[in-house]
Amino acid sequence: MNVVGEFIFAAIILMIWSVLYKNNPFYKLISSMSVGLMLAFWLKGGIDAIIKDVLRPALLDMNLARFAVLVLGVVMFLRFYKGLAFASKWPIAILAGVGTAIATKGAIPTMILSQIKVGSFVSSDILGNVNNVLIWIGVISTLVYFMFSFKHGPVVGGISKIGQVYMMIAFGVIFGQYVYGTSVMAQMLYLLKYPGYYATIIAVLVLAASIVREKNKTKPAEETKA
Amino acid sequence: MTEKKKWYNISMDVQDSLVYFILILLCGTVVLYPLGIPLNVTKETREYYDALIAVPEGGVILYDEAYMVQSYVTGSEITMFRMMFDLIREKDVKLIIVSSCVDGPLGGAMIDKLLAEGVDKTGTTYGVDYVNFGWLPGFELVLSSISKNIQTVTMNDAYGTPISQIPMMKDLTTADIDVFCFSCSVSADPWMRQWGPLHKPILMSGGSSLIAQAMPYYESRVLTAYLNGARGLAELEQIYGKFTIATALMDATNLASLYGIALILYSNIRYQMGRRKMQ
Amino acid sequence: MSFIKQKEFAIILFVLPLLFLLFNYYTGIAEPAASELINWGSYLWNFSMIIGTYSLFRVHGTNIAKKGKDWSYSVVIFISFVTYFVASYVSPDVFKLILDYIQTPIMLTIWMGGFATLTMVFRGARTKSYLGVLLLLGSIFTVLRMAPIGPLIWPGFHTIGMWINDVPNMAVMRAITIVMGVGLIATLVREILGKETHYLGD
Repeated sequence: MNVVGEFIFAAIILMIWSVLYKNNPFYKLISSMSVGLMLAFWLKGGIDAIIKDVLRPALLDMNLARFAVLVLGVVMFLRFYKGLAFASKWPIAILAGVGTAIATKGAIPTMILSQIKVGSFVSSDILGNVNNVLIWIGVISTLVYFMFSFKHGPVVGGISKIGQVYMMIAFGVIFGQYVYGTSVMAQMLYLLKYPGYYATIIAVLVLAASIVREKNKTKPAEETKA
Repeated sequence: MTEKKKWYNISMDVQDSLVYFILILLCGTVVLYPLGIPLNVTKETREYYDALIAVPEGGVILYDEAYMVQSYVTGSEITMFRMMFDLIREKDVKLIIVSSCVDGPLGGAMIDKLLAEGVDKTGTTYGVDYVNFGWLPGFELVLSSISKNIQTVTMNDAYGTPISQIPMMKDLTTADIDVFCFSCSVSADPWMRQWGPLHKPILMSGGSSLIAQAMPYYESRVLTAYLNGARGLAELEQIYGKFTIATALMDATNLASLYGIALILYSNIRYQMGRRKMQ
Repeated sequence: MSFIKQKEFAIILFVLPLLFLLFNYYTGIAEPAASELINWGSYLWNFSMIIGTYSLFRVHGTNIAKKGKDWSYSVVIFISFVTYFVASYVSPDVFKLILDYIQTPIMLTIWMGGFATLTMVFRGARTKSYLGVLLLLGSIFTVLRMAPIGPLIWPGFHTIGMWINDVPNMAVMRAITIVMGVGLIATLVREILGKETHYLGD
């Protein structure tokens, strides 16, 4: 089973990679399967969580709070009934309120207050001082760049230009990180070891046949043109 | 009479396919003929390792496994788990494992695979030394719940045992957790927002694409230490002394990186030459 | 009765838990209730996932019934869903096999971020101005800093790469983090005042 399974593993990788040549039924098949599988996986996790943390406490342990959640969850399904669809927005509103609260409460200390602490400009480490000055020039100029509420005059425009320079370097760093992560070795490990290399050989032959077929198709068309 | 097409004037689609093929060829070559390029341990990894082993005797580590499927397939975080289990044996540390993975229940599957296949659990007892909460839905809601009260995050562990019946969870509060570790592939913001205000050591590992974005938190000491993506995990293996697939991936990363730079230079040189020709 | 049908009632249901959680965060009062409310969010999220699944099925079911575009792939979605879902409860061994040998390679490969990046690099990484040059220099130094081979070629790559990461990149990310934080607070105020109701599907 392991051998068959690893062959299928390699075959699936190759079927997905076939889209790099051109769109084809193999890729569409796998991408459709992926939707079905992910949906099933997510739904199983969700239903297990509902049974474990809502249904059992609500119905077996008579936990009132969890019973209220169960009622709210069921109310969500009223969106499919025209006359009662307005009620389905209530649990969504509560969910949105909770989500907004937890996102915002942590934002002030970590995303704002911690970020406006200033490093020393006058310590014994001269390079550190220079770096701190450069950091703060960068922070302020980038913030000025994002001020779109008023027209940028010569002074503000000049400062935002410095911000642009900083931002291009920073976006280069992010871009570089994506370029760094382009390795496909994890997949190659399965494609080049037994039994994956059988799938690879078959894929290479199919690709070669497809390329030859394409070339033969376009050749007569070009000859007719000439 | 039509002009004969030059062999290098191929369509963009074919050029794209060639670019992908060369990448696949490079990575495949390295699988067959490893280069063994040496890897030096950077200051960041050393900091991460020191922060992890600095957990006090009898302390508690919480580990949130929320990395992408790459980690599941390559088991590249196996070294992390091995180190944490060594700490359980050597320092009587307690370990809470959870997954708030945004990819879904795959996070729970990652934990199960790592616990089943990768880690030596001798000398440790489930429920006394470590507990697995499994995947919990809600992402940032789970993180917030952890920061409020670890007892109310879930009613049962990943195997259905009520939290109240797990010995190590008795009387445990969030304040008792000494080190928070997480691995992720998306932005570090949710973890920083929820765990930052706790003022405890927070250690991050995961995709290299989130390092730049997490730098402000590192600089302001909200984030204590981080691993530099897959390279960081490989460096951790250098320190730990046992090697897995994470180290093997480095050769392909080296080649792919050089290839990426070569492409950048090639596309720019070709573009500038084309511009000059038009002028 | 008519008031509870209105949008304003939903806005009140949004604002009340929000204010309660913020109140609890800053005062520490009613801690158990706040913990429970946060858990409610996770549980309601699961219910919304069931609704999402049903909606997706409705779309694909209609496609199959009308034999619309690529309807056969909609059948594939249904078959793979039913097989995996049933196996997860009835036969854990089959579930594990599907997870290990079908879903894992799909999730490992379908993202194809590496190839998308290469296309971006090959087709789009062309400089027309000095700002573009700065971007590409930043990316080259970052790649050579992060790849183990970079410092072996020249140690300066690591030094300059670290400086770029620690100074200009950090400055910009700090500014963006501040902007995001302020934006979150501004959105919070707008939502409390009822000016933002995107969560109701408006």
